[in-house]
Amino acid sequence: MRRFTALTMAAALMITAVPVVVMADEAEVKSVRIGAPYDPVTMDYAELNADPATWMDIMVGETLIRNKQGTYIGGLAESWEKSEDGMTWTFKLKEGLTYSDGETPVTAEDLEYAAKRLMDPNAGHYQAEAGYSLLNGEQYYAGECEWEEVGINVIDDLTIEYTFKNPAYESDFTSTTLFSALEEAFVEPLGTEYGSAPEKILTDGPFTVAEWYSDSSVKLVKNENYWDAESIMMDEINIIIGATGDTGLDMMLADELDFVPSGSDTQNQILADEGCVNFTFTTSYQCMNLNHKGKTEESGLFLGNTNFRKALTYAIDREALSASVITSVAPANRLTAPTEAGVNGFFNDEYPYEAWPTKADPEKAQEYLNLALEELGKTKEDIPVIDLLCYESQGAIDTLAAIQDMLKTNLGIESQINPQTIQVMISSAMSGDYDLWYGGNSMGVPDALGGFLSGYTTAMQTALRGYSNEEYDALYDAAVASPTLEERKANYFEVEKFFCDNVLIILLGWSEGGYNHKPGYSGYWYDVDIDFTYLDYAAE
Amino acid sequence: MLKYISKKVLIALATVFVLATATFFLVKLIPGDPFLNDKIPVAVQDKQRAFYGLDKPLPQQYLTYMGNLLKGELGYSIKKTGRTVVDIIAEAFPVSAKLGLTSLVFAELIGLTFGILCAQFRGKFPDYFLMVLAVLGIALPSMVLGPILRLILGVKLRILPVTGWGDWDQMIMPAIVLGLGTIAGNTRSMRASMLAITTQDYIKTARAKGLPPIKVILKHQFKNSLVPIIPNLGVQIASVMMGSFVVESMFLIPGLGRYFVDSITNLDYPLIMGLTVFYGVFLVTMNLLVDVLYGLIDPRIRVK
Amino acid sequence: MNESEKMIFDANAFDPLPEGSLEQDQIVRKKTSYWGDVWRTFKKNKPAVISLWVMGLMVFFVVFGPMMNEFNYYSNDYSCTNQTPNMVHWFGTDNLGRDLWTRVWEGGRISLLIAIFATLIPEAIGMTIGGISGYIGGKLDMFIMRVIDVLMGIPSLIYMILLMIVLGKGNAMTLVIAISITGWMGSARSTRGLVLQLKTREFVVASETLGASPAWIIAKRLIPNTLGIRVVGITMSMPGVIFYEAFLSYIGLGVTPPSPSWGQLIKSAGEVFRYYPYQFIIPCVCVSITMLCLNLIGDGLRDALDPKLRS
Repeated sequence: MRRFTALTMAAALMITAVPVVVMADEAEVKSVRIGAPYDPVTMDYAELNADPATWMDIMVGETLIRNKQGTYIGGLAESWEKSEDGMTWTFKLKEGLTYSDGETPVTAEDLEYAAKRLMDPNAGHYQAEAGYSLLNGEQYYAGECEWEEVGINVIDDLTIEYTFKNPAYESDFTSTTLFSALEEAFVEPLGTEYGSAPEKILTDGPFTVAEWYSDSSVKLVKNENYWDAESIMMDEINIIIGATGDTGLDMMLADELDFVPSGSDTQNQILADEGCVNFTFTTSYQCMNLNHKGKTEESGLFLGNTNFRKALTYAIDREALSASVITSVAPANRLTAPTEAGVNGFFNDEYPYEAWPTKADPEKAQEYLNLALEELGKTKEDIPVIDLLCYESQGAIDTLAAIQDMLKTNLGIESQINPQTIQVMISSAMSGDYDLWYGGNSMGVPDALGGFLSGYTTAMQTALRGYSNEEYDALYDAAVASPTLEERKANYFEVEKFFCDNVLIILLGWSEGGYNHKPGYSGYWYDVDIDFTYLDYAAE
Repeated sequence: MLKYISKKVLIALATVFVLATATFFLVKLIPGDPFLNDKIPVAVQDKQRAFYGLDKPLPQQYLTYMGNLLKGELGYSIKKTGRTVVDIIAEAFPVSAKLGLTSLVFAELIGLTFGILCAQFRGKFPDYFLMVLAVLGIALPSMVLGPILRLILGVKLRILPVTGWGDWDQMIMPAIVLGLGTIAGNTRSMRASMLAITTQDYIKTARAKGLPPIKVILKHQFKNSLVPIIPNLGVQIASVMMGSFVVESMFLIPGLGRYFVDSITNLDYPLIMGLTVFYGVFLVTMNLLVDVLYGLIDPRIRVK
Repeated sequence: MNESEKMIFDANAFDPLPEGSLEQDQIVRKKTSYWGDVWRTFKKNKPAVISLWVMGLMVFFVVFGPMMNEFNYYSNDYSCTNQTPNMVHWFGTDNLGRDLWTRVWEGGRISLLIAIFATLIPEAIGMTIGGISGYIGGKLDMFIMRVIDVLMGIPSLIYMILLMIVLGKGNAMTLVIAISITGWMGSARSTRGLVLQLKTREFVVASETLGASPAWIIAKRLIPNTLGIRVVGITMSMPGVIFYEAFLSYIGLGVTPPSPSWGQLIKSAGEVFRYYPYQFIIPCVCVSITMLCLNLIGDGLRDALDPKLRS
């Protein structure tokens, strides 16, 4: 964006006739500038590894079923049928679909190729686990069976059938990773480089990648060959990486940006005063992960005790945290986030529950601590210094400083903050070298709750959580195997209650993300993540 | 002469080789690896490691890497999926180099001038005034100074763009923020070094000869007082061209600076190695040039 | 062969000195040591002396400041977060309601300690190595300089992460070690440059002719003569070290939060400086005053150390 000095601006304003002509020209191209914290890294669906940037990838690809602002419509699929048990789904593709080049047709073979490539046992694609949901998917990846035995079956050019391990739902087919098409003749010659630059991407979605400077900017332009091109209003979407926080704020104020990710309350207020619109949605769970085995045998003794963990959770003042250090986090009183989908509406409305108070309850905390000490036959002096692991960011360190003080004031427990660089932190966490670990759990995928809960099953056991419980495993397995959505959600609720009663983690709150934008924009929407596909602009 | 130069080049290559080897093994000492992830099944992680050759024993990994390095191949970045290290450096380095050099040239000019002024007015107002400026310049972290400039010049006065890269006016603010430390440092060290020379006999002689003061300063004092500034000039040039993490992220400049931090915290081995070798070649070359420069500046110094 | 060599001295040509004349020539003034002389010159420099006093005051507050009110540096109070300076909280409070007066002075302890030791120790290492390298020259010089190239080429973040794993958390000591390990190279290069310039000078040649050992020449002739210029380098590197400490604390090396330091206070307040400017300005003023004083003291020392500027 070239900018004039104040002087030339004034000069330009004097010649009023000229700008009008220019404006009329510009109005034909609808474009928007959106700030984003992270680079998409890759547009190869098999390799997606930047959760907060997944929305960009979704805009360039098409999936079997598309969630168009809350209703499931066919994307690549014209129609579909499912078996009674919900395990087998047959899709009929739209006729005459092409990739963005307008020539190469999209066929059922392309869907199969994309899935086979994703699960290639020799490649080690980041998202390979997505294929585990298919019948024999995990076995194929482990080299235990042939591709023909995997639950994907191309019936003809336009018909494809999927068989799953557990019942599937419409929402599962909106994932680009497993249910989008790739052109083999285009992808194969590129090998690992597919999806790393504009000329190395061939997709079939509403937009195409026109320019992409790593960690700097991405320019998406409308795909005129998209089957639903008439619903797409924006001609250009310019994504500016790093335009967040105070930088993004200044850019909004200087008119270098139209959408900026929500910041602190103060930042949001400044933009609201300028006439900007704010919207928010829940993006992640903020929690203190618990190592049930403890960093040392000593701390494991205490952390392995349910009443001790309860004492910790009651000692934490979640409202105070939200009011001071984690202002964009709503204090939690249960596990499930308010935006988690239920059968028809929201899960939390359908299954009301309050697991713990949002304010600290020092008396109850003390009570649980005494119970724990009694059970263990220990005194308060025996409790070791608790290790608080976190990533080396200001926000994390501040949050832990607050929690450290709460544990000290409400329980008399000493703790030490242990910030580390990202990979070293992950390494510490994965080897169980921590007591409590401050972290988030991103929600940007359908069924985020399921993913969260699965982490505590014995099957997923690593040194990370140090937790294993047969009763929990049984509850979880029953939930996943539920044939209907109603049953699955009801079963999830049972798992949630067990989860909270036994304090498997200390949940702090639900992180709220969102954007501030200039007036006049509409058509964006969000459930698990932001979606700018149908964005529109009309000057007010 | 040819023998002399080829010897220097050989030594430089050996230095880079040692540097690459040391970095290779040091990085592997850091616990964890880039594929460790609590959300990805272990089976997938193992395949990823195998794909990048990280499942091989360390000596074998080292030999493979060095072999590729000799062929000029730096491999694929692990975190920037599908992009080669060469590609990343080729895209970002020109940006950082342009900004860094511009900023350095101005900072050196201003810093040296200030230093001379301070020395000339030793103990008087301009000396103290410039010292306070220098101290503020170095005590104000760029992390704060940048946003202040951005707010005043970009948002309130609207005379410069807030962020971005491409136009000359987008370079002004980052160049100022980047150069402030250099200005401050040079003001102070140039002052000290000028003062150390004012009492030398040859300066006294020059004055006694009746040369005008300005000529004495520029012709005799200036050149000789550069000696303490030059040793670190090589490092300064090399590092400033590699970009700055803070300044680049503050003004959204697509430079190399962030990769130096990100690659290490992410344990992106090929990228760490690529950047280190690239920087090493630069550093060693610059330092060799500096040694040559010494002799030119002060004939009494002969670096053998 | 000229005339003078042929001259022959005859003992009879000399007369003995009259009685008592030796006493007359004896030095009346007490002999001053090198450092005594430096101190004498230093005292004449007004700004430097004032700075010394101000530094003394700074140290006083750093030691006794945290005891002057009823707050400690770690307790949170959510009823008074982000308060501007007032009668209760003299420097205001931060986002957790912690008293900034206490935190600023408490933070000064670690920052001053680091600023002084983490600059002097690497400087001493660098001077020794640089002095040897520059004076001996030749292959050794070449070798040392290339070793420095290698050490400078390895990204310091790698050392720091490794040191964090080896040394772990602890105290100011680990920080000083960490900064010293990576901080001596620049000073070694500078010192070497100065020594290269000095070693052909008359006073060095004179010492060599008189048979002084290289170690003596480096320690007594060369390094003292580079001090004047290096003092400036030392004082200017202090804020860098103060901020570097904040960075190191963040990656888990050294003093961990909630223990404050000036670097950490500035770093965290820097993110909200436009909303709560006082949180940032106060520690920044502390660093600036300290810097200014140390620079003025440094200048005074510089003048005092330079034998030719000494009057």
